[in-house]
Amino acid sequence: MSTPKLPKIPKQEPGKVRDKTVLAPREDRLGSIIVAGGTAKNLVDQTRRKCLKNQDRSFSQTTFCQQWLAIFTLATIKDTVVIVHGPVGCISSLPYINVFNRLGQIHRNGKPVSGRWISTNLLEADTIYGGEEKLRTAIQSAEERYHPGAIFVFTSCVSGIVGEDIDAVIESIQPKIKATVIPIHCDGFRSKLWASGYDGSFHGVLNYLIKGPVEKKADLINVINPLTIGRPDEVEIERLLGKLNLRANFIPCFASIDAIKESASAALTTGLCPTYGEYLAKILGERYRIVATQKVMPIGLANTDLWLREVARPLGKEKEVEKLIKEERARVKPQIDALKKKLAGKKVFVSAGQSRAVGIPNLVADLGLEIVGVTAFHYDEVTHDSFADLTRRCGNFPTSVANLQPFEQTNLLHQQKPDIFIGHSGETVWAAKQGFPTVMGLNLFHLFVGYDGVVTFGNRLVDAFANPAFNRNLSAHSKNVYHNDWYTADPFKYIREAACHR
Amino acid sequence: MPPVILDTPRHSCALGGALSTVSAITGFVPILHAGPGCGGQVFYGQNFTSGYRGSGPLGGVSIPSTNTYEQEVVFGGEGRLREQIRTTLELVKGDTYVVLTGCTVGLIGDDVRAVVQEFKSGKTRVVYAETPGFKGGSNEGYEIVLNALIDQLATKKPKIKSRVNILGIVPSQDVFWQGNLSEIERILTSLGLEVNTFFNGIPLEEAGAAALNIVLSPWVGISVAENLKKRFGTPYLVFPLPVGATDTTAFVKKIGTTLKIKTADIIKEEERRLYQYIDRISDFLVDFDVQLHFATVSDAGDAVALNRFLVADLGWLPSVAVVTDQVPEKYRAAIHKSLNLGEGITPKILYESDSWKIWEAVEKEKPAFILGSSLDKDTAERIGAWRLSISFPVTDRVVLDRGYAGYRGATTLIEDMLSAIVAPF
Repeated sequence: MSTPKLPKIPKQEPGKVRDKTVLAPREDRLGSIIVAGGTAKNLVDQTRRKCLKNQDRSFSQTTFCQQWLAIFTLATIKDTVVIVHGPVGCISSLPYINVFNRLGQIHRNGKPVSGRWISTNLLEADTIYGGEEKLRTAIQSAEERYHPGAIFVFTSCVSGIVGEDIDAVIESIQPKIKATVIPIHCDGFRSKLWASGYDGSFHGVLNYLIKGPVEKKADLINVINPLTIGRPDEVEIERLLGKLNLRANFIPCFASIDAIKESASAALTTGLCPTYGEYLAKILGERYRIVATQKVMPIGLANTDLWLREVARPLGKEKEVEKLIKEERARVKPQIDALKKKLAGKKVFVSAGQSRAVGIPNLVADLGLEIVGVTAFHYDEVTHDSFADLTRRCGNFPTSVANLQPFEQTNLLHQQKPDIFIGHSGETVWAAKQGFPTVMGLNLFHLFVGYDGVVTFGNRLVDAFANPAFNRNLSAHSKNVYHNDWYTADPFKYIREAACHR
Repeated sequence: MPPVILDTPRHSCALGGALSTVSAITGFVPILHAGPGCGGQVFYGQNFTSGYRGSGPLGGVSIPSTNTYEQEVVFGGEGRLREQIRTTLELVKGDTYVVLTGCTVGLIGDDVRAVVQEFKSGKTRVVYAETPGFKGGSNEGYEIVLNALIDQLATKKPKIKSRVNILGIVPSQDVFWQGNLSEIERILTSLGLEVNTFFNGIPLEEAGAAALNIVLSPWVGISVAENLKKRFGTPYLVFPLPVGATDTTAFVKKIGTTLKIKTADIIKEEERRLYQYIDRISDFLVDFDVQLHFATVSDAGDAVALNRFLVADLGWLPSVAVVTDQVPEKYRAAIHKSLNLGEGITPKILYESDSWKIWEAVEKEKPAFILGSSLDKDTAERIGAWRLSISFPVTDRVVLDRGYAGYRGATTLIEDMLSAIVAPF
């Protein structure tokens, strides 16, 4: 394992960097794909031979767009307002995101306060005459009503197609507004990868909120935290980093604007999900000379080892980290051995975001479960190495790349017949309706990360096996929504060549 | 004038309303011809935030959708739609497939009608509605899609004397839609009527067979009733959702006189049953002196329903009724009339969809009880008011078959409101 090299230092002076271009989507920047079907080894081989190309589905089901994930990225930052420049529907799930917001605040011992969100309510006439005046009104209202530190302006399909120049609106109104107004380019149709939305959000934050030069703090570690990582995980990370005498600066979720600004002074950036933090870590590194390490999620024993080593080594803490790993592994071993006795040999199908689709299989392999299938929501170089490691560890298994698409999952599960399904919110209910025991692969109440995460998640699996009554009953009262021949057909029947890369 | 901006809106878009409506009709399969995130966004933003209404048989992230990306935006999406309809028919069970268009398709100008027409000869039915989000809110989406479905599916049928259609209850936008509809259906069935709610399994194509259309909102659904009147000559009556003894009895009498049905026995029995329970809570109401000044923050339908019930039946005093949906001007006089509650009692009526202005207005009135949405939590806390979530969105309650309509809904509403008061004890 090589020591991470210090990144290239940009020519620009830190603090004056502002990349005004709209960032290329992940399919162009990282060669990411959302459609593949076959086996894990095929996927690894094709990636290695650089012949992995995007395909399309001739049947598809609705999914998430990059704008939604862009909002998820920034909606919980304290003292900010979300503006969506689009029709009212493009902001309509904010009360849902607000559930996570309030829950997260409760878990952080705060009195929950709801987020702030404003729609420019673009109507038919605005698609003809333009909606820039409405955007001005929205920004002014956000300022007058809430006096926030920052205002995020998210674009939409409509604002993109009709050609609204939000950057110009923001530039002209900023002198009259105390809050920093930040454009977030995330038109839903412009990327097939919802993960491009993370980048659009971080691009805005990096260009408008984070400034240098700054004083370096040798013990401060940026830990990029997606909203799907719960507070119990953060507490565990704080504990582990504390053993190395390091402090975690969790950004962006539930962070203050100051904490986000402080990220420029950190000694190192890591993340709890490489897929999520890829761009932020990279650019923080380039602009402020901060080592960026995020190869894997710290989920499962080996990946937690790797995650900790990646943090410790650049900071000269090799000895400390080896001692920590040894101690922690020894501490949880009896509990894991006990769990293995209950769980070994159970067949599991895992569906998750790209990084978790590596993390969870590694975790359940630690507990002796057998992987009979993995679905990743997209696939690219960010997790290629760690996915290849997974195949070396767990052998070959059916693999699909799908941005949800429960019809494929239904077929795969019917054919693979796992003992348990581990999935993401929105998709897991379909496995439950098929009668499979299920456990959520992300759950804000439970610990996933670190050594204790293996134990906690193991106990959760034991519970799911102990009483699968709910899903069994649900299944008995659910009807097949697909025609019967689908359940035995080729699961990848509807995958076809793409018309173009995007 | 439609609102310029919407701070913390209380509805989704036209597509959201249309999708939750189509998803509520048995056997109907929606096919979105829309952006990749529209289905996900409005599932979480219209259904899930409506008391955690889940996917159902084919909702949530399993809704068939063309997921229009840059390729379709630039080169047109008709080919992709044709492919998606073909594969959906092949893969997904259903008897009627409804293409719903989103904003991107509305802007690029696909000829959806022509593509749908190509599937006419097949044995399954494929219809469509143009529901780009920029056409308006959820209530507008409900009207657009029901009108489109009736235009394309309903045919002239012999009138059934005992058949009525119910309009004006928008699934998910009315968080209690299912409970409300089943109570209305229960009452009308007890009068010997057969009720088509469009969501209870009676075929939508029989819309023209009804003897009467009943619109349970001061405005939502009237355009559909007008459409049915024009096409099938069906008369309609507008009676905003009745809650409690006074209004429900008036409703039953009105149906009785319109359709020449005897109602006296039914009314007597229902009122007896309701007051048996109201009697049970009367000690608490009297001992704790629970006569409160209240505010409602809701769509026009619930504003009328709740103010009338709380004033006429419970004897409470209205402070402000905030009407949060965008009621066309021509329907407002009727709303004012419904909210003139006699003996000089009438709430201040504020038509406002922007939540910040709503919170400001409610704070100024300082009601003791707020019937609003979970969005009003922080405001209620600031002014020390009791609160119950009864209007969209509702994220602090789980709603299954609960409803507040009619005689039985009144007991449920009293339970829930007074439970909010006793909760800390």
